[in-house]
Amino acid sequence: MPAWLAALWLLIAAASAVAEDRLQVDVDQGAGRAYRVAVQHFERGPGVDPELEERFHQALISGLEYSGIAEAVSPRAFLGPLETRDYEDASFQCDDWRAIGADALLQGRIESADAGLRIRFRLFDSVRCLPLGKPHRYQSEAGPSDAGRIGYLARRLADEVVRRFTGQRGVSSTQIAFVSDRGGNKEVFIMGADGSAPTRVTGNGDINLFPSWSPDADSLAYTSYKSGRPDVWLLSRGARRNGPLLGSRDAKYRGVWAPRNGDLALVMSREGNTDIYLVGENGRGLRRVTRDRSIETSPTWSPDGLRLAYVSDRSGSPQLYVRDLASGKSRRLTFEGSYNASPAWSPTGEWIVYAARSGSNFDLYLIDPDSGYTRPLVSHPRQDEEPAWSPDGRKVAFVSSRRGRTDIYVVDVDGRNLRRLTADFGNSSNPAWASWLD
Amino acid sequence: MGQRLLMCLALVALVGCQTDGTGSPSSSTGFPEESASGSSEMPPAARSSSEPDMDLQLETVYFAYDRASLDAGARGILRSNAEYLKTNSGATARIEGNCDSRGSAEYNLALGERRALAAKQYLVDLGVDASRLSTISYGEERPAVRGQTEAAFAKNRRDDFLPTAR
Repeated sequence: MPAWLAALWLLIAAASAVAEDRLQVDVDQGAGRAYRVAVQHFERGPGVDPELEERFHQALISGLEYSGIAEAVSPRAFLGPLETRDYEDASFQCDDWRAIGADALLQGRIESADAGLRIRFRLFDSVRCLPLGKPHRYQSEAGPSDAGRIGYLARRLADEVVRRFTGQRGVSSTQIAFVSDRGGNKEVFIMGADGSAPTRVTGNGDINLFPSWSPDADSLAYTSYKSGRPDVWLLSRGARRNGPLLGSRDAKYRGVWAPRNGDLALVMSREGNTDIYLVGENGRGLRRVTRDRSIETSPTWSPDGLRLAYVSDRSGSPQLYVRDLASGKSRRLTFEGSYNASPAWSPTGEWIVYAARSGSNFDLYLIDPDSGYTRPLVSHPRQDEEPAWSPDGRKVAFVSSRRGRTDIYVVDVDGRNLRRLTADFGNSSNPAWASWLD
Repeated sequence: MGQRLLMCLALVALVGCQTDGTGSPSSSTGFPEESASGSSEMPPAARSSSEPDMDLQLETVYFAYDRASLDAGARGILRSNAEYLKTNSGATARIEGNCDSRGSAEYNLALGERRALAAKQYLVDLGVDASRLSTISYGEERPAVRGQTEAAFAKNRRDDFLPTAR
């Protein structure tokens, strides 16, 4: 018996007294031990095309592996059936799955329902020989394109499986907004967290920058020159909202949605100086946060919405500061280096990721906003900039010119699992990661 | 003023018709589709460097890395720009502040603004009426020269002066 398996049994024995809906496997993040899942092909209801199921199956596995904490067991090793034969029959030969090293078995059924698709599934813990969570179902809306929706259903299911393993939902079904110049000018695009299906959102032919998601992932703020000057615009799915945030003619460089309460932090220039303001998403209640004669820009919210980190050059070079909004007190956070910029506060509150220059090169670092403890995240002889957190705080999307043109990459917070998301898409920049849609 | 009111009305009409369900989102993301032809603004090409109606003889000034201060060379150019503006009293100009591509794009928007304002202030100090000068920052979004060399960077850290309709 390998050592890790022995450790596993000990762990399970220790945890068995605790009634918990979680797989009791010790995932050492440093060592990279992942949950091994046997994923059966799902049973197909009447009228469900085998190609659609195959597409679902591949998207499900890719969604699981995107998490970095789960991997699919090769079906060639299966002792049990390759596909779910009868979903209604919930019996389960756990020995068959445990013997091939699978921590869990995922099985289910795809059926058409109300002109859409319904996915039913159950997950088994093959080590403890128990169901892992309750059987569950997802349903897509009625729509012409089952093929387009099946990928989202698969990734949503993958994210739920990750939640059952770790207690924290996966992010493969979320979206990333970004800017690309592939059409000649910079427009805002949206793609899946794995880089799938990049789709253009703006199309005004001018300069568009810095998308920022509302907390419900339903709206975007972005900066556009389409009115002849830099201004912050809001745009919602279904076009519920589509217009400038504020009516004033002041230059506005960026809007950043607060994690709650519907405010935005706004970078705006008045009387010849760039400062940070707060304003409601309805454009009301404008108030000033910073009052220095220096440049204040790049605000990022603490997850509780009580503090802002931002960039100021009041010391003579761009450095990170943290301000408590209630007291108005601010303190300098970075002291190393002559150029620290683009802070992004993690949704867990634990870290601020930022871009720091050393020589002529920018790399990404993590800093603890309370202690100031700093550690490198990614470095490369070319530029790594503009970091943005995944909604679970496990991954960071960023911009890198390591292949010449700038692309969006993603990396785990421990610096592993680096992958490029954009391909042959001009220069891409300004990533913004949305929360879960539902 | 009238134009602004018109734009407001157009916006209200747009939002109004989209919320009553006739403007269903055409893209798979749920966001409405925006097209360049639907926007009333000038395309960017028409706004950039050469507008034929007025032959404005104003020279570009350049800056050091991460700086918005005017060195002796920049001040010399601005003095001759000021002379031109005083001689051609009908001319108005927009000062466009720009940066090289290094550093934060967001910070560079503020830095470009500071560069444009530095030139404006100097021209005003030399006796040019402030109402004849407007400023805008393009940050690192409109490089004069492509490339990642020090020579290219130096040409991109600049203020351009463009004629504007009075």
